[in-house]
Amino acid sequence: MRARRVADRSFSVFTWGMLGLLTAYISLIVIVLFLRVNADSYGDTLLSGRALSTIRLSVICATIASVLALLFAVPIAYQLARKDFPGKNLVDTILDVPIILSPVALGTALLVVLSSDAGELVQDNLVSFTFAIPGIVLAQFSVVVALAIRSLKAVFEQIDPRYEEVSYFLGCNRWQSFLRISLPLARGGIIASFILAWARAVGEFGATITVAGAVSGKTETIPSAIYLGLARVDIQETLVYVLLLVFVAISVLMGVRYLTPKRSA
Amino acid sequence: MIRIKDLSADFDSFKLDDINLHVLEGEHFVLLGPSGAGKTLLTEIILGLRRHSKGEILLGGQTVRGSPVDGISVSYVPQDLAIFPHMGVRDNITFGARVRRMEPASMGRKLAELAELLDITDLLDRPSTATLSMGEKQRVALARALIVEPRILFLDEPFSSLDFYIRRQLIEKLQEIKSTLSVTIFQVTHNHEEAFMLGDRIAIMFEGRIAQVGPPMELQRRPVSLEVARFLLAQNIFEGEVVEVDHEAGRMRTRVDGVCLISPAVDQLSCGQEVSAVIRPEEVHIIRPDRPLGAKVRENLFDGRIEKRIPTPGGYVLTTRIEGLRTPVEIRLSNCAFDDLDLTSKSRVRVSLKAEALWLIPR
Repeated sequence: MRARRVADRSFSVFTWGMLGLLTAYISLIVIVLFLRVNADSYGDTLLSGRALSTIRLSVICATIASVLALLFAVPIAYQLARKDFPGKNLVDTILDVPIILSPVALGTALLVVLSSDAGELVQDNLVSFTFAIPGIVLAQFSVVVALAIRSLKAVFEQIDPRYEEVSYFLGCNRWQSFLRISLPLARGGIIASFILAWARAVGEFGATITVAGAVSGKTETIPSAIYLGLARVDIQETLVYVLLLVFVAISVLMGVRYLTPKRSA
Repeated sequence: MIRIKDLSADFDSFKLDDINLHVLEGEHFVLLGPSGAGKTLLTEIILGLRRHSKGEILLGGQTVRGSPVDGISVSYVPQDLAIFPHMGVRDNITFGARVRRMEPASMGRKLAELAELLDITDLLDRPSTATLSMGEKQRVALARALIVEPRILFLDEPFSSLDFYIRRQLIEKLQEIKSTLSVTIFQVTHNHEEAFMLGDRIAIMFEGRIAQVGPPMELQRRPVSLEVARFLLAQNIFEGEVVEVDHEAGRMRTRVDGVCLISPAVDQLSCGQEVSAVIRPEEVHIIRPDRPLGAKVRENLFDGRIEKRIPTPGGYVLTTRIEGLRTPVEIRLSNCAFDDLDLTSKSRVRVSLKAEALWLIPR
């Protein structure tokens, strides 16, 4: 009996200890960052014209990329959650490739495609991606769309298909059933998915810098500003940008937690 | 209204086998069976929500083949009700009417009628269904299904999660709906009371096949197999042999241990055949010594002694040992009858196994 009590107690100490250790580790990183920045640096960096244009570009590109990602992800995730079809595993795997692939590798692949004859044709006649703002959107979209599909698939899987079945018998066609039942029920999950995609897009670096470069004042996003700041050894400016991303990350995670249905325990 | 011919369906670990059913227009048809019999699966196949591998299903004259049919108004209340959680009570109920673009005045009238019929008028303005009790949710789901004026209403275990009192109330409500609205009802349940109170005809289903179809009284008195008899709680099952068949008098005698049981003649049975004699506990009567014998209880009269009495809600189950019969006989009495007979655990009694209620099943 006593041995069991000791074992139980030690297990609690172990799990609580690990939880505390990692929380302290991450908190320490943020706190050290915060203490390392001079109070004046916030104003100097964030209010400068260059920073404002960098932040504006990051926000606009991430928003467009996330909206585009959701336009694809919502119907795709719904289809994957609801239907079984031949080759579903293969399709699922293909859609997961951008999640697994290193962003730099994904950017390189995009660059190769854009340099091909077909790519050149698109770039010459429709829209230019390489070292241009549309390239940032394309890179961010390519990285976040798979994430959005994954999170939305889980959202649609949680919605009982019975609601849609009942709506068929009440007179809905599949469009009406999707728009009046499935979509409103997935609303919280869709917003959470958008926020996650947006935050990932804002923080995207590898694919973006490979496709669009980091041309100061032209294709410079927050992560590329961090990279350029480090290259210039401008530690204060770099740390302000890092803290900005930390702030975005914390806000996003809190927002997603609030919007995602709570599970017991 | 619903016709199913030679239907078979194969799923991973379960199959439906050779199902034949015919549900008539305006009928309240109940599919009764234990959990895991395949009732919901069969319902989903009829609705077109799942595919079958063989056979034909006609729903209002239209062939069903793995997708819901158009052109006939069908409503479906699933076991979990599927009340839309993102809508209030009124929007839930009127959903189908709005999708079908029912004229607002007509929809309002219909809503008021149904709300009154189902006693949910005071719930209509609730902005959320989350705070409704299970009984209220059932009524809202029924109203939502009925507002589109379906020709066929499918109910899958509609009262399974309700307590006894609410269930009884809703059963009565459904009887009222049945008499008010001309709708064919196909109901799935595992509850005997629900099936026998509501069904015009009942199909009994075991392990993916239909064991018997018939009106409630026929099922109770004439089970076609021991499996059906046991499921319908006919506890008194005696094994014996037919010793005499008198087709003219419409009677036959079966020897069971040391006694002879008289029962109505059955065409398919002949002398020497081994049978199981089945009678429900409610059909066994204790005869008061001071009263004259009624015509229905004059046959199969035996002396016995009460061995055990078990209280049940509303009455007693008495286990009675009959002289010459190895298997004890179970008798179900109401509290009132029990008190009236002034019985104790060892009382000697005269028992009648009502001949008309005794049924023979070949072994």
